[in-house]
Parts: sequence; C-alpha cells; structure tokens
Amino acid sequence: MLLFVVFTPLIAGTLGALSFARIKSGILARIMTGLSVAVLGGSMMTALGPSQQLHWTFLQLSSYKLPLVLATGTLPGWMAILTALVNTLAQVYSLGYFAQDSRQGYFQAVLLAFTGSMLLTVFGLNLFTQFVGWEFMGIGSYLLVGYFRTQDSARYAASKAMMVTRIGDVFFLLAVAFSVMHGQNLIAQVNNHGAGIIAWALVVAVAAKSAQGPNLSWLLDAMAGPTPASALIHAATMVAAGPYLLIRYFPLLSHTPGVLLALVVLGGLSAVAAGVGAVGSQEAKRLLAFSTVSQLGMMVLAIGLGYPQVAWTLLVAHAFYKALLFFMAGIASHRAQSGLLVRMKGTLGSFEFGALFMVGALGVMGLPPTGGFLAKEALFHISQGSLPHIVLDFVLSFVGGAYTARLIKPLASKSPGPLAPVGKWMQIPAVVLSFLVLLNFVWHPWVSLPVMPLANAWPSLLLIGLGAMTGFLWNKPFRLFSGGLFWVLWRFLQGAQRSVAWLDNSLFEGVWDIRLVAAKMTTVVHWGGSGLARRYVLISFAALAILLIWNIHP
Amino acid sequence: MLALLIIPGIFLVILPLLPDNWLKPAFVAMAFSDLLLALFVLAPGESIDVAWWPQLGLNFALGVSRYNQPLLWLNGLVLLSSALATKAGKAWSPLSKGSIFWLSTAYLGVSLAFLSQNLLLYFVGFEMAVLPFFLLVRKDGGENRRQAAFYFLGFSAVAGMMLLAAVLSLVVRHVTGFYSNHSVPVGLQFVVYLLLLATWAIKTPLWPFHLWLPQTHGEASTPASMYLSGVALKVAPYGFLLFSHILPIASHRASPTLAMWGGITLLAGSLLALGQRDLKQTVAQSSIASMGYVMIALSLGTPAGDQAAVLVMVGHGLASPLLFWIAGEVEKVQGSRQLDDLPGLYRKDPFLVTFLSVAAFAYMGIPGLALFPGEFGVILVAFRHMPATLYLIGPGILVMAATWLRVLARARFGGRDQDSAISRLSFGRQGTGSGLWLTVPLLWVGLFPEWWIHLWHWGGLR
Repeated sequence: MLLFVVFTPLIAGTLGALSFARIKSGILARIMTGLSVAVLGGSMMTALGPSQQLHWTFLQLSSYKLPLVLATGTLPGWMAILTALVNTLAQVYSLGYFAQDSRQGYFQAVLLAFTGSMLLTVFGLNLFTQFVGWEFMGIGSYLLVGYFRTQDSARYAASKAMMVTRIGDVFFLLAVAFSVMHGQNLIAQVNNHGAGIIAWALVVAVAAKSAQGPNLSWLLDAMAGPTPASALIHAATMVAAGPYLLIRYFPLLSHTPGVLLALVVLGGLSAVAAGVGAVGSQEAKRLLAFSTVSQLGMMVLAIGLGYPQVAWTLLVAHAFYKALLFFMAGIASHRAQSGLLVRMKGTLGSFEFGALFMVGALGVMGLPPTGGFLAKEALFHISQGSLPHIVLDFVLSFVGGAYTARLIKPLASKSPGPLAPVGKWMQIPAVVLSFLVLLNFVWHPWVSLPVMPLANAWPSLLLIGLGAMTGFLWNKPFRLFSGGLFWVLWRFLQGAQRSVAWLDNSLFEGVWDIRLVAAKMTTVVHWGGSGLARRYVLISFAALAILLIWNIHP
Repeated sequence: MLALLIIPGIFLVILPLLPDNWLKPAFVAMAFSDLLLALFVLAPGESIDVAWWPQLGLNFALGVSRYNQPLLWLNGLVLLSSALATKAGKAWSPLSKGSIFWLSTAYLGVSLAFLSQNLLLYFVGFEMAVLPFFLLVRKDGGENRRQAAFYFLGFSAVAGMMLLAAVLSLVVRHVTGFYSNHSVPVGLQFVVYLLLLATWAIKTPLWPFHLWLPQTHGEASTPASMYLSGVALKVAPYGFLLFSHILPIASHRASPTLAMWGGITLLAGSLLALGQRDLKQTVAQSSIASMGYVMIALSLGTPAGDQAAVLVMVGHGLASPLLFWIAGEVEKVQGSRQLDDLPGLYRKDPFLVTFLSVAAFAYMGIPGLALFPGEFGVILVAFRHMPATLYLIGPGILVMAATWLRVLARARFGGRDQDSAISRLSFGRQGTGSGLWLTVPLLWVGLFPEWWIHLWHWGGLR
C-alpha cells in the first residue's frame, strides 16, 4: 500500500505530463482526479494499517551506502493524508478552474506528480529519500509556477523559485552527504548521533524552501502560477515540507547548540516582516502569500521554542484555512477577472462569503471556532514566561488581524448585480475545507494540546480585534521585499561569469598571439632563405661584420 | 572482445565500396552490432596478450576490467546515437564517406584505448581517437573551421607529445603494462606524472587548458560533437585512472592540489557556460564543469572516488551527446542556436523541448537522472578526503542551475497565445531515435544505478 501511495502519483503524473499530447486533455484530467482520490484512500489505509517499511539500495560506492527507505508512522501518516486531501481538492477545483484550458490534463498530471514527490519526502525514513522528494518538488514547482508560458511574470517567477530553492538544496545535499558518510541512514540515527553541521544545513535548506528570512520573495512571485497550484504549494506541500522536516529532526535540532535560538530569530522575524508586508499588498494572492510566509514563520518559531507539536497543530490548521482562502480568492478573482483587491469588491455571494470565506479568514486571524484559534493559543501558551516571546506573539496577532481585515474589506461588500455562476467543481472543495477548518477546532490529529482556559485568551483576541480595526482603516499600499537580494545574487553571478569569460578570452588571444609570433618568425626565415644571391651576400656581410666587431672588442 | 575491434575494422575496409544510399544503414548497423557485442559479450577479467613489437614493449594486450566495461558500453551507445544523427545533405550533419570513415576510426581508437593494458597501445589508441577530429572539424566544420581545427590540433599535438614522452620514459624502465609489478623509482614517478598531467589537463580538459574545446565544438558537426564529448573526452580521464596505478607515490602527493584544480575547473566551467549566448557553446562549456567532478574524484585515488568518477563519466557521456543532438535539432527548427532566438521554441517543437528539459535537469543534478549518482558520489568522497573542494562544488552546482534555468526560461516560455496553436504534426517528429537512445539510458542509470553497478561487478547487490 505504501508503494502504491508514493509511486502511483509520481509515475502516473509523470507519464500523464509526458503523454498529454496523445490523450484528450479533459479525459486525462479526470483520470488524474480519480487517481488522486485513490491515493487519498490509500494514504488513509496506510495511516490506519499496520506499519510497513520499504528498503532498497539506491547506490553503493565501495563502503558508502545510499539506501532509499520508506516507512509509515503516525506523523507521516497524518501528513500524507493531509497532502493527499489537499491535492484531491485542488484536482477537483482544477476541473472547474481549467475547464476551458487545453492543457488542463497536463496541469493536473504535474500536480499529481508534485504530490507524489511530497509523499516521498513525507514517508522517507532517511535524509536521502527525503532529499529525492525535495528535489522532485523543486521540479514540480518549476513546472507549476511556470504554467502560463506566455507570461513573462510566470517565466521569471518559475526560474526564481527554482534558483532560490536550489541554494537550500545544495545545503540539503551536503547534509545528506555528511550523514551517508557516517553511515547514518535512518532518521533515528541522525537524531541520536547526527553532527551539528547536519542541523545547520537543514535549517538553511528549510529557510530556502519555506521562504523564510531573506528567501521570502520567491514565494511572492510564485503567485504567477495557477490558483490550484498555489493552494497545494502553500497548504500541504513544498513550503510545508520545511516545518515538517524540522519536526522530524527535532531531537537533532534540540541537542545542537544555537539552532533553536536561530530558529526563533528566523521564524519570528520572517513572521513579523511578512505580516507587515501583507498589510501593504494590493493583490489578494500576494497578500495570501505573505500570510503563508508569516504563518510558516510561526511554525518555525514554535519549533525554535521547543514545541514541535504546536508547530504541527499550526501546520494542519494552516493547511485547511489557507487552501480554503486560496480557493475562495480564486473564485473571487475569477469573477473580477483581476487579482487586485480593489477590483474584487462584492464578488462573493452571501453563502460563499459567510460560510466559506469568513471561516478561512477567522482561521488565519486565529479566532474561534477554528483550528487556527487553538494553534495560536498554543503558541501563546508556550511563550509564557518570556517577555520578548509574548511581545512577539502580540505583534503577530495584531498584524494577522490587520492583513486579514484588508482581505475581508473588499469581499464583504454586497454585490451590485447577480454574480456569474461558478461550476460546482470549484465550490465543493471550499465546502469540504470550511467544514474541516471548523472540525479542526475540536479535533486535532496526532497531538494533544495543553488544556487552556478560554478566559486566558483575551489579550490575543483583543489584539486581533485591534489589528482588524487598523486593517479596515488602512488603505495605503506599500511594497516590501520585492526581491532585491535575488537581483543582487543574479548580478553577482553575471559579474563572476564575465570575469571568467574575460580571463578565458585573454588566454585565447594569448595562444593565438603565439601562433602569430611563430608565423612572423617563419616570414623572417623565408626572407632569408629566399634563394636570392644578394640577400645571402647581405646576410654573410652582416655576419662577418658582427664576427669582426666581436673579436675586436678586448 | 576482439570482435569489438574487428567489426569496425571490417567496416572501415568495406566503407569505400559501399553505395551512397547504404552508408547510413551500414553505419548504424555497425554501431548497433558493436553495442550489442559490448553489452552481451564482454566479461570482466577477460584478457588477451600478444607480443607485437617486443623490443619496444608494445604488446597487443587487451583486457576488460570493472572500470572500462561501463565506458565500452557507453562508447557503443554514443556511436549508435551519433550514427542515427547523421543526415544526408544537411550542413551540420554530414554524411559523406570521409566523415563516417574518420568517425569510425576515432571509435576504433577509443575502444583500443579503453581496452588497452599496455602503455604504448594506450598511446596508439589515444592518438587514433584524437586526430580524426581534426579532420572532421576541418572538413565539415562551420565558418571558422580553420581556426578551430588549428586549435584542436595544436593542443592535441602537445598533449600527445607529452603522453609519448611519459610512456617512453616508463617503457625504457621496463614498465610496459598498467598492471605490471615493476615499481617505478620515485624521482621518475614525479617526472612522468608531471608530463602526464599536461596531457590530462589539455585533453580532459582542465581549466585553463580547455581553450580548444569550445572552439572545436562551436564548429564541429552534430555527430562529431556528440561523439567527441560523449566518449572521446573520456579517454584522458580513463588514462589518468590507469596511470595512477603505476605512479602511486606521485599521485598521492599531487592529490590535494589536483582536487582543488578539479574544483576550480568545475566552477570556472560552470561560469563560462553561464556566459555563453549560444546553446551549443553552453553545452560545450558545461562539459568542462562535469570533467571537474571527474578530476576531483580521480585525484583522491580511493575506490569510491574511482567509481564515482566512472559514474560521472557515464552520466555525462549520456547527457552531453543528448544536448549536442538537441542543439543540432534546435538549429534546424529555429534556424539559429542563439539563446535569444529560443523563446517560443516549445510551440514549434514541444517534443524537443521535453528532451531539452530532461537533459537540462540532468545537468542541474536532479536525482533520477544519470548525472546525479556520480556527482553525489564525488561530493561524498570530497567531503571525506578533501572538504575544501566543497567550497568550489557548492557554488558550481548553483551556477550550473542558473545556466540551465536560463536556457529553459527561453525554450519553455515566450511566444503569444494568439500565435498559431501548437502544431500537432510535430508530435510525431522524425529523427527522435538518436535522442531516445540517450534519454532512456539517462533515466535508467539515474533511477537504478545500483542495478548497473551490479552488472559492472563493483560489489553492491548480491
């Protein structure tokens, strides 16, 4: 069953993407949706069924062994269900979203393969297996973000996403190499005996893939991709793989000095900065992307504070409400034919707004009755006793309220006329997710949260409210993090490239000059050896003269 | 094993007699039968030793070992795909008797060099593998073929002389075979090692001795480029591997320097590739980077390093001919090889862009494609024995990713929606055989390296 869950999406998705020219797009899309449902069922069975482990050697060079290991477990099981679920919903959504598109089948096939790579990372029981899935995810995101091939923004965003995550991948690769070198081929071995270098390399890898710290801008640009892909990337794959990985390697992180503090700083700063950036954005999807970075920062923060279970709770809650918000924003911008917040006024019906969108918005803010509330309160709970952490949480609640209010404001207004209907395919996923966000309030997979009296939640609720008020009143857009660092990196590469090319060219010219010198010398010889008597006489006289002068000299 | 050399030999003899329309089928048949032979007849441990010119120490000593078997398979495969890429009447894919003759001669030379157990025989194979490319470039090259051919010949001649000098100074000490028991005096080891280093630096190539390579590839025809970069380039690193056995002390001493040099080559090659505006030049310069990996691995002199080096050679031997073939096809489709003319290529030939993407991902070191296992192996051994090289390898990986993303950002994107719909006709495009013969093994080696390692008797699977 494990084999089926991991490799069906990978193989079927890849084959589907390659053969899309031969199969009718709509049929391929339906096949992919059907397979997604099967994979969802399979991952449920894997999670509930007996534990399994698959093991085979990918490569063995002399004494270095590089095995691929997959294993079921509680955490992987839940994560797989989450991934497969969001994937299925995104596939269903695509059936409506891309109904008019001739490359629908290709899109859904890539989406499925992308999910398969995430599942590989999820079930991987050693760094190498997770690395393989991690890399495949990079390729998948490249193809998904660059789906609209005629748009320059998509082209730029796809290349940038790949390039920035590649920086993290190099560090991940080093972590894998280091663990393989020491024969640590299982997560448990790495966790127990892993060196600090692995922990640090993983932090860098996660920072790149999850758009933390200076890497944040790729995720914002990645909004150039289609909405279902964004929902999947943001909710349960790719960027969520970062915190997932940190959770799995938490023991290693916790016994490496300095790493947890670095995570607190990294996550906290990213969360605040991205939250502030979200308040200033003008596009719905860009706002949501900022919000994702902010929420991922909170997960990293929770891990840094030493509570992976809180990070996990937030990850699950975030997956539900973020996917929901993406789907709703997709419907709204589909109707508005624009992603700008001002254009989206009154594009949602009352049911869509009240029962679907607002549930997601409550979740993002961290208000009851959603899973988001519990996760945020848990974050508060673990920050007790340290003033900086509490202040950080307050700031996060405040900006969370503010940017969500910015998103709610245009959508809350009544629509002037009848709304264009959207297909049922686009609404079903939102309904399911809305239900799950509410269910998440009372049901949390895998972890038991500390019991808290609700009365203690008032400071955060107050701050969220204050933030929301500010957000409603704030109208001035501002730009933050437009990706200047990437530009600097690219310039730097170009500069390095140019200097090497210059060196190369000089060498080339130098070699050519040697040939020219040789040619000149040949000319001299030819001049002398021309067979003309007068030249011989001249040369002989010159030689005689030199000889005489030489000998006259004392 | 002898049949591997006899078939191309017979082919060379009957080639002048063949009618023109039989040329390609005969060439393909020769390549195919040799590939089959290499795959199914070669067995490690097999060897032949016939005295040829005993006074000179030149013996006809051939043998199949764990390390040359994969390279011999690669040799047959790349020849086959180069043969399939030849086309009559097209400027960049010549099909004349002369070109086929010289390409087959090079093939014979490469096989001889790979199989050789004797120093002088290796030299003979080396020269046979190298010199035909001078003629191939001079005859069928592009506009600047004269200059390019000069560069190739100039550099190769120096390399060949150094090799001959090194071999002769060993032969006079009665060291004639790669596996002989004569130990070489330490002083001589260093002299010979330095002479050989010049050869390998030029022919592998190591930066900055690579100047001939972009020149040659820029002008050479598609099949010649494919074969040159796919296999003929591997003769030198394979020679390095062989000679390290008889010069253990010198190799050990030079190891750190050489590893760093390999790292510099890797980084410089990647940066040079990033700087190119021409698709074919990009491919050519990327090869230099891959050879940097090979050099790092070989310089360390550990079994794992040697195996990783052979794996990189195999991966590169599949990916780079594939890209040269793609560059040739792109020029046919688009009428230009310049990167700035690539946007919108996916509309004209989606199939070709798929090939290009796969090959580009291979170069970027994505797992599941043939370059990854080798490169990972190199990083492993480098981490253990020479961690300083990682400071060069890491940026090298990034630059390589940037290089190929730059190409893909043009080939996969651009165009306008209003443009005519993607032509359905081109899906069943002609002449993909050459690409498929390389892409399938590219995936196969990348996905199941252990299976191949088992076939090559490197240990591993039981």
